[in-house]
Amino acid sequence: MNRKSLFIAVIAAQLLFLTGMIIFHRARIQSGTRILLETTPVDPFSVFRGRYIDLNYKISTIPLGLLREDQARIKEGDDIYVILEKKGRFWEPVFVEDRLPINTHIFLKGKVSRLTSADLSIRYGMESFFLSEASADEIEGNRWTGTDWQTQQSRMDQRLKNLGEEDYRIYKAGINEWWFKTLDEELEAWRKEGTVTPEQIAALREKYKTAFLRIHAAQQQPEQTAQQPIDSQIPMTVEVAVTPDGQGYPVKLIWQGKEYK
Amino acid sequence: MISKGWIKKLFKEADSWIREGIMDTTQVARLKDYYAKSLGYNRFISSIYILGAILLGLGLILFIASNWERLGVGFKVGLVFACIAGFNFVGYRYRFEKEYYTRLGQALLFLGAISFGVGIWLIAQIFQFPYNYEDGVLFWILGLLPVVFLVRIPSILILVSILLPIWLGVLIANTPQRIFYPFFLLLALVGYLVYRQKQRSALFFVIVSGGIWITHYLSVRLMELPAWSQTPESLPIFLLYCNLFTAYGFVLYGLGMRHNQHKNFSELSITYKLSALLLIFLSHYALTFVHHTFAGASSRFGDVYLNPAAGIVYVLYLAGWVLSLKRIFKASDPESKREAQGILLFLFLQTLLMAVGACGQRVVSFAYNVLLFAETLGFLYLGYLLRAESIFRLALWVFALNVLARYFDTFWNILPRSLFFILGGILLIGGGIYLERKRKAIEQKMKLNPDGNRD
Repeated sequence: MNRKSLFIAVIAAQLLFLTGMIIFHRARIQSGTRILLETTPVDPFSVFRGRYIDLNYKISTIPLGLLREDQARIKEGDDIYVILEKKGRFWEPVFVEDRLPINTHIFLKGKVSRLTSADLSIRYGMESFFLSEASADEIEGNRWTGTDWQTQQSRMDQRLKNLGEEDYRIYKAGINEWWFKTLDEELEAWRKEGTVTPEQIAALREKYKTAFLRIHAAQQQPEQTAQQPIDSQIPMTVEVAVTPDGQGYPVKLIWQGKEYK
Repeated sequence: MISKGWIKKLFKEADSWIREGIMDTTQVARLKDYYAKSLGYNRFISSIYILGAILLGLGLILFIASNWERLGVGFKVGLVFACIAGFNFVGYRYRFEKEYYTRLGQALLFLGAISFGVGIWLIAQIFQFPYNYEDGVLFWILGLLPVVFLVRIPSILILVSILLPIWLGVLIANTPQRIFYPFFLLLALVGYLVYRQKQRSALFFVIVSGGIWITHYLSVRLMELPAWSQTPESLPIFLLYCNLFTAYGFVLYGLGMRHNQHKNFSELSITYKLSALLLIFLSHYALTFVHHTFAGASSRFGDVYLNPAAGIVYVLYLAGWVLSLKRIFKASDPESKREAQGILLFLFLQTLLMAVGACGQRVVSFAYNVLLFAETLGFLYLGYLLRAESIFRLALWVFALNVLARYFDTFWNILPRSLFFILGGILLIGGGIYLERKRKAIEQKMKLNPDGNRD
């Protein structure tokens, strides 16, 4: 076999591998059991993978009371299997196993990330959910009452528009005190040349000084609305496809009755 | 097709033609001038192509990430598959089957390698795999290994070598309690390819991976120690980590000396040596500040250094000793022998100083100040002896940095601020002028030596 044939075979193997990944995971999701889990989100930004939301499930923290006495040796880094039962809309943990459960209906496999005297924290490998930019912005925008810079800028812009057409025009043209200082010097020169009259100079000075005062007042007006999240306490719901070996695939993010993906 | 490697060898051969009287210096100078231009031109073109490929690759990644909703999944997958197939096949044709645009072919093959990674991450995104999906990096490396083996493109090998420490880092972040021995299998595969292509940049990243692994190994073993050892005030623990990097550095330097004598791999020697010196200098430099930052706990010295966790440090020091001793007996020239003797001396001093931690932070700081000073002078001398400009310059930088640090350390609280800065400025400017003159004179002497540069 020559190099070219081998190279073609390698590239074909890469493509087959990727195809295999898609088929494999799609089959697992389709054969998995769909459950709803409750979560509270944190929202970092990942440059390398679009926008993603960090998910912290309610089942990510398990009280030590769910462990049996013979499971006291569980330590950080150990694999753990959390058996779930449906209670109302959501699924909740009922007990844990430190080995693969047999004859158990629904469970999720995780890893103990932290162990305290009261509970243990578990990571299931489904702690992030990727969203489009539009969905991520929508969720972020709906959670906060316009504390972001763009919203504040647009509010200030509206206040300046309310000052009147001429003041707004002066602001948008970038006319400021520095510009006026030069104008003031030039006005004197024009007056000496006889190009402008003292009354005209006085009128110009009055115009710009009052405009600047009004513009400054509008810019420094404090934000009237309270800056706090309005509904950061409303948890999100994640629909997860759970495979028979305990792997969870988050498939839908639901918040305030709307589905995000 | 005249390659960069061919031109480099021509330059070396041309020097021997002068010695043998086959050509005169004017002729050789004219030849070198001609090829130097094409070398620069080729390197420039190659850089343009690689830069273009990197930008295209990044754009591809960002495009897919940001246009999630607008494009269907099937379209995106198809697009990435088309990129993988297209870049690779067109790249192969231009690189190996056409007379011109071979560097374009290389850049396209590199893009093909990036596209394979994009494909993995796209699928991970589709199925909501976590962002720290360590298997994704591993699949990417494994998928590229046969490509590197077949086409020998340096940029793809460097990509694989960069992915290696990234994979290890993500693995450690996800499961910090585990020690990953299978890592060495992957390290061996990548290392084999690095040696096959004698790629220095890739070797550097392989060395970094090794450093990450041994650091993680030590930190996992140290988790078995009591809670006091996990506090940042623990001087013995800090000293142990610095000793680990120093020991690893001496092993690398020993390997560098070994490679210097090897007829096929001497070009890799300098990478080992410079990496070694960076580790040794940085760890010793850090230890010169311990009198500021550590409260003591020197009474725990024995608990740490007699613990099995410290075993890896002793093993690495032993390996350093063995490599240096072998070099003394097997050195083929006096300079190499002197080099090995110098390394052995520093190793001996360093091994002695392992015990100084029991005497408290002030003694440690003083001892490593003296050792660092001696080492910088020693490596300045070795750099001059071996005609190794890069070693000489690195030692000079560290020397200057150390003098600056000691000046701050000593006079910050003693002198009035204004006088401190005035005096510091005068010393820096004066010292800089003096060092620059000395450096130029010494490097000129190195270049005039008929043996030429060692590296």
